[in-house]
Amino acid sequence: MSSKVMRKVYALFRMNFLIVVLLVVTAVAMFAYRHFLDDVLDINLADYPYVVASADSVDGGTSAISMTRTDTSVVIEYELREGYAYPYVGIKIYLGDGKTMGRNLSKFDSIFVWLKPRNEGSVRLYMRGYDSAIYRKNDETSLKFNEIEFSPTKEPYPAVFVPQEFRVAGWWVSQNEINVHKARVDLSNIPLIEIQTGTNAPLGYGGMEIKMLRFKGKKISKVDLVTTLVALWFVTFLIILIIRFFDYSRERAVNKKKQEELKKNLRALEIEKSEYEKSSKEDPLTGCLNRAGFSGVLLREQEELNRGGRPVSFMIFDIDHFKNINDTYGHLVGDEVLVNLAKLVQSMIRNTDSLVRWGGEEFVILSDDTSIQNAAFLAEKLRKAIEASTLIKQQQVTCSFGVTEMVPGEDPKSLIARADKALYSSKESGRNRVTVATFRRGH
Amino acid sequence: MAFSPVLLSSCTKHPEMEDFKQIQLQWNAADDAAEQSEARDNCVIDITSKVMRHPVVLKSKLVEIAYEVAYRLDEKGLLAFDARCSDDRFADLDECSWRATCGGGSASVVKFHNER
Repeated sequence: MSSKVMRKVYALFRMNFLIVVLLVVTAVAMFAYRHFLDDVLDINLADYPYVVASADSVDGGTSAISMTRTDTSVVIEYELREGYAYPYVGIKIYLGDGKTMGRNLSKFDSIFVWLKPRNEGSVRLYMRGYDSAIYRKNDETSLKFNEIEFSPTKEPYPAVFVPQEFRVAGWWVSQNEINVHKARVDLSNIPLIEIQTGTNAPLGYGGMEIKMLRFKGKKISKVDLVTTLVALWFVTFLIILIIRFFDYSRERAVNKKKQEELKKNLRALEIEKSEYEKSSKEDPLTGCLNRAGFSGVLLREQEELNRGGRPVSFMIFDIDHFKNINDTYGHLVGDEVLVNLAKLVQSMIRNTDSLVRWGGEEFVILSDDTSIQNAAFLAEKLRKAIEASTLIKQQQVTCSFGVTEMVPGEDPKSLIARADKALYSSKESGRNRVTVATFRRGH
Repeated sequence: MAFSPVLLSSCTKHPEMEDFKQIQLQWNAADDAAEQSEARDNCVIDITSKVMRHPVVLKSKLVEIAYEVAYRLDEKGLLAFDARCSDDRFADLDECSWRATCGGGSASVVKFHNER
């Protein structure tokens, strides 16, 4: 009993355990995604080696710049002068090989810039992207200008941007005749970052201190996390489904076995019942029907006759001087006579005839589909056969017979009384004979 | 007075039983040839039926009639039955003596000797 309960608890636990594990894994994954799993790239300009100052002199301008490093930052001093149409100065930060193999910054979702200007004016931040379809060898201008322009004095410190705020510089697109599909922001390969004075920076002296750039993202993207979790839930439920399927199959097999056992028991009970019923209707000594068994047969035959069925004959016979046999040779010999007589008679009647031990040494034969003359003939045959047989070795045994035919609708008591009277006549006339109680039809 | 219920009971008619007549037929073959005849069984059944239904028997005043029936093969190979009442006291009664022939594929004929 307890092992059955334990098995059920275990089965329940096994299912729920998987779901609990799944919930825990999901919660932990979401918590870790929110608070850990940060992927951070810091470019600390104070000690980053690949930083150079740049000015508009490459474009024909005359602006001047000087760059110094402190313990914590890079400081540029400059003078913007007329010359180039859009005078500018700035710094270049090289990543990777600085040409074609840069850093993939597309996985970061925020960019922090620690920048302090000395005077008013905007600042441009360029993420220069490499695209093999556009890049011209040793031509830095062919690196895509992913840009953002901002006023540092109006931004918090540090200024924070997201990649979606960048756009590709329109002048660069038109100058290089870039296909519109290629003119999208792409941060997957950035070999160069530029920080420059903006379009509305005033001419004259200026400066800015740039401490650091920080790129912050997650080690796994949100889409990947959700996809992984959904896949995990799917696989877990698939496993649960498979477990349930096997459990169900096993349970079904057990139930089937139980059902078969029940059927087997039921069959055994039915056989036992039928044997019990049979034994309750049989005479234990001779194996013939007893009176209880016969009443059902008699009723059935009478109903059949009442419905216009074939004639039914009733024959009662009795062993002559049976009391003398019992008294002379004992009851065992008497029983032997009864058993052998039953065997002999049973062997001479049809399977459809019913042989009944009526009581003591009296027997009855009910023959369906048998007219009285046929029954009389059968009785005569039986009488002769009994007379000619050696039922016991001690003496010859004979029987007296009373035969009659069932009348439709009559009381069975009348039938039995009539046959009994015919038997009595046989006894009175000297025994070992057949008397027929014939119905006076047409009278 | 004590006899009156018994007397009344004896005089009372038993209509149920009166409709039935008890007939005994003791069949005795004259020889083995008759005993072994193939037609014998059918003849015995047929003649029993005819005797039981014969108007002479049915109208008989006797409640019980016991016949000793002797049978043999005649010169034509038919079974010839000769029946008489077992009780000689009724020998003169119409229903007490009959003869029958049977076999050869034809229907048996039962004829009561004293029939008038």
